[in-house]
Amino acid sequence: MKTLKKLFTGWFTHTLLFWILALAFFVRVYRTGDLLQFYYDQGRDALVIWDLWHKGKFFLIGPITGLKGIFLGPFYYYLIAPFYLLGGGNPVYPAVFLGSLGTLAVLMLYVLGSKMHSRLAGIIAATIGGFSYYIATFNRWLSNPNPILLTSIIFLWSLWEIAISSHKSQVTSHKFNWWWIVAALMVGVSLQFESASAIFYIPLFIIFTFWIVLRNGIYKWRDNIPNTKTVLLCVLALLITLLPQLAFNIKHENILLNNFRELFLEEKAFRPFTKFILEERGKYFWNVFSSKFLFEENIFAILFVTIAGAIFVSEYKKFKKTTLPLFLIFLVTPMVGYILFQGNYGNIYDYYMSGYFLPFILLFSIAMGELWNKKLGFILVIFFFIKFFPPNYKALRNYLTSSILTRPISLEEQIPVVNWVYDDAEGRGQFNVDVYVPPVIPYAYDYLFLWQGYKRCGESMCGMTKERVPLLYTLYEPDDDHPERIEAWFKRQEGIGIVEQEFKYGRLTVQRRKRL
Amino acid sequence: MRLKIKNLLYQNYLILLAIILVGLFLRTYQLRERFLYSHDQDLAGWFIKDVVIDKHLRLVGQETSTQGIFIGPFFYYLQIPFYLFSHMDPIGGTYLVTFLGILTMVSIYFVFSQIFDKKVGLIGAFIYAVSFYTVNNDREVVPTMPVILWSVWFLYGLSLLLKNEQKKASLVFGILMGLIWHINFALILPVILIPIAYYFSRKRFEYKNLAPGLIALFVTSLPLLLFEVRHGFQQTKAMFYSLTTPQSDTVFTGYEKFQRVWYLMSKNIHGLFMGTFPWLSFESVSFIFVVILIFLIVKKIIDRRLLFLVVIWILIYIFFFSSYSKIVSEYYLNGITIIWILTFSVCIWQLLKRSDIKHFGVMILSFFFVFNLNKFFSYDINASGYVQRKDIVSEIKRNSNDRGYPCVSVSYITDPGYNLGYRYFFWLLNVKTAPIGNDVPVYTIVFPLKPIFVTDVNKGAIGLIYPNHESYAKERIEKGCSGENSNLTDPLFGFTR
Repeated sequence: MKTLKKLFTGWFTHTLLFWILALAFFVRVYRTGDLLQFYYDQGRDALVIWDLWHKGKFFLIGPITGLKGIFLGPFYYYLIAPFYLLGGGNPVYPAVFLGSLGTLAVLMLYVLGSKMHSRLAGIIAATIGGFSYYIATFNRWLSNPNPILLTSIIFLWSLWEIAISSHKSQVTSHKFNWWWIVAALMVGVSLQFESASAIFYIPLFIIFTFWIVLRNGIYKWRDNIPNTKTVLLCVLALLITLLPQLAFNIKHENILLNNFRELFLEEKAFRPFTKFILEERGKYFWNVFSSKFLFEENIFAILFVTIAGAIFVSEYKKFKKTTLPLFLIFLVTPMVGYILFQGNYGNIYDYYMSGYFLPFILLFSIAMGELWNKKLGFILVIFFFIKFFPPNYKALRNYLTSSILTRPISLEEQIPVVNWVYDDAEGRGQFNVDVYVPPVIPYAYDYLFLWQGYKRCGESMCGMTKERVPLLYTLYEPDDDHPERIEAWFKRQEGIGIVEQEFKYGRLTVQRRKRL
Repeated sequence: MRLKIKNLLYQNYLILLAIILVGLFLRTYQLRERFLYSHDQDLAGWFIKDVVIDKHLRLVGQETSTQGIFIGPFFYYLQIPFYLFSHMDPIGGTYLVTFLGILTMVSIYFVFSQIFDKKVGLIGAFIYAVSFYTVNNDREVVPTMPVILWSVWFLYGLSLLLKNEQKKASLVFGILMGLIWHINFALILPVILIPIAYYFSRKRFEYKNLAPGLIALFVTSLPLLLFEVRHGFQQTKAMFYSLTTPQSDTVFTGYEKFQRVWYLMSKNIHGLFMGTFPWLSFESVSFIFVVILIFLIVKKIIDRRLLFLVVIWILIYIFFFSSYSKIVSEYYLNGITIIWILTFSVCIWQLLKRSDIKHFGVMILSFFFVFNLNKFFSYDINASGYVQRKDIVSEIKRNSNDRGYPCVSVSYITDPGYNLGYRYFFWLLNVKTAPIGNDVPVYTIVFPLKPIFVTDVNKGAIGLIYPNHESYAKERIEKGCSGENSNLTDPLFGFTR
């Protein structure tokens, strides 16, 4: 037992961490060029960034959210834009960058786990965060919610540092004040990545502040407040992140605030909950958190989450000062929020909670780290990993080694079909391209044609034009969900041109047509 | 120091309050939807109507499955205030069992705390509050529901005897013995433990201590005595007859019967603790409990005299039901449920006491909590209970009123026995009935639903077929309805007027 306890010290931990990070990075970037799923959102974002670099069009807002008329801030675009520039428009570059940020989040998990509990807890958190199939593939997603995994853990870290400083009566320290600013900045930045998730950072930050201020007693509230300068800097940090959206709002006749008002006040997005909502949200939260382990049987998720809960109950005195209140505020606030939030037609998706995935994993890992030190506890921790690794390894292996036959459409077949068009059109003069892609708007192919055409021929786009010319290339993806739509598209194309040649690659088909 | 003790007490009561709130939630969540209403509850309604409306004080409750033996009326009388509170609606019965459930939690806390430690009391109350088995037990409005409550206090009586508190013990046993007839006859079995406990106390018996017990016994048995005197000791004879004559179990005999009793006991223990936990069979759970009991004996954790009484208590039940000729049901063994709760509580207490293995105790309690809650929320609610039956009768009333029928006839397409459990609602909703064949429109209740029976309206798992309205002439209906309300005059199985 003693040997086991001593195992996670010094060089052993750091070597292990190195390999965890190396492998975590590997599973986040391996075959990105082949496996990157470049769809509507990715195409839309890439086109905006293309316009930034090629037309100098700056932007004040980012991608649209799932909520009608509500846009994110532009930070995500500015964050990935340099990597588009670096890669000459290649989306693999920003995707690899986001994968790297995900790996950095794994490192942060370790650091925070070590600070909050022990190196072992850090290692456990990094291992789960690093190799959870769900987390790893989330980090491979070229989309705005991806970086919130990192900012969520930095936000939690800053709250932890504030809480620790206030507990140790170090509120006058430079460190204490500095972490307040980091926390405010992380709220603002996270809001730009995944507002559905980060919106609850605001109430949780307020509740956290109340807790910090009042934790030593109501009459000692002055003891734990940051200095005026820090408060002003916090407000400034938050405002800076909101400035582009505010400017956009002013420029466009209060459009964002009007949409907010419509959603939250007129449509009453927040309403008292019913029994049905409570049951549905209960299932949702359970699925959100338990799916990160990817156990083959749900019973193991129940078992290990219960064990983790039991450890906190058993060691309540040890964790009651800081760890438990902090995590309670951090994880329960969004849950309450989503129980009360019934806007957006009641729809909520797994990634709406993306800002809480890693904090949940960290909390679980602290319990496992504590359990390891208990009598026979290490057996349970090892048993956890025996159940954790096989399904995640299998899923990751299948994902990373998948071929065009075993996975959804990705860059591996998208780029060859686009290139086939350019190769085939060479010497045939100008041509048009018409794409059918579910759900209808072909931003992804608009960008891929733009990028590849520009790369080959510059502004001339190798003859691709929007003006109607006799040569037409049609490209389509199968639409299993709406076969009637693609049928209608086929019928329309039959009346436009005759197929002269066809090229199939994976599930994609491209045809050269001559207009009738 | 004083403040510290005060804090501790305060803390215990806060935890107990939290446990009671959890228990209360589990017993009242979907109160109507989960109220299993059938013939027994219907009979209770008729009993209460007989007493409250017809002013007929009754000495017995319903007839038991052993012919000639009636259950005592105590449980039925207890329901009366709750029925009055709910305007004679049978939902009132659920308020009583919820109250008795909470009383059981508090009793377990008190008794276990008196015998062992307040923590054992809290653990015991927690188990009783959360276990899917006890929650379901406390949702059944039947006279056998308070069996566990009875056995908690019986355990307390035994502990009083061991402490040589004869007077208090006598009072407790007097009340409990008088209540046996009102709750469940099988509770007579552990009574044999009283002289054994007295023997273990090694004190001389003082006859004056018997007085409170005898008075209590006399008061609680008064309805039985009066009934027996009035009816020529009918029940005493029937009881003697049932014990000396082979009854209905021809399927299991001898060793097989023992195996069945063991199986049912294991099933009860499993149901009491395991919830949806998937990996332990019925038998392995009872084996674990036997091992725990042996451990407690070897380690001298419980007073050996009490432990010995507890073991005899279990053996009496196993021995009796293994040799009893009647078909044994799970609930017959409810009289030993308290022993499993006690064993488990003491075992967990031992784990919690030692800081190096405390986490195992918390883990086991957490598993118990989570897997029982999981079972509670994932449980398929029976769709033929209180809500559906009341809805069906309401629908008959609505339809017949719309058609202007002064009365209706009711037929049933059901499996045998499932045609019972509706009549109180006909009385409650003021629906007059006439026998079939009086040319009165016949409404047909269908349960279970089958494709061959095409129903007009379904309420949960119960269907209703409307009469062929065109085939009933108004004059003939009025003539057919001119007689007495058959719902009030027809005999009711298990209910004597």
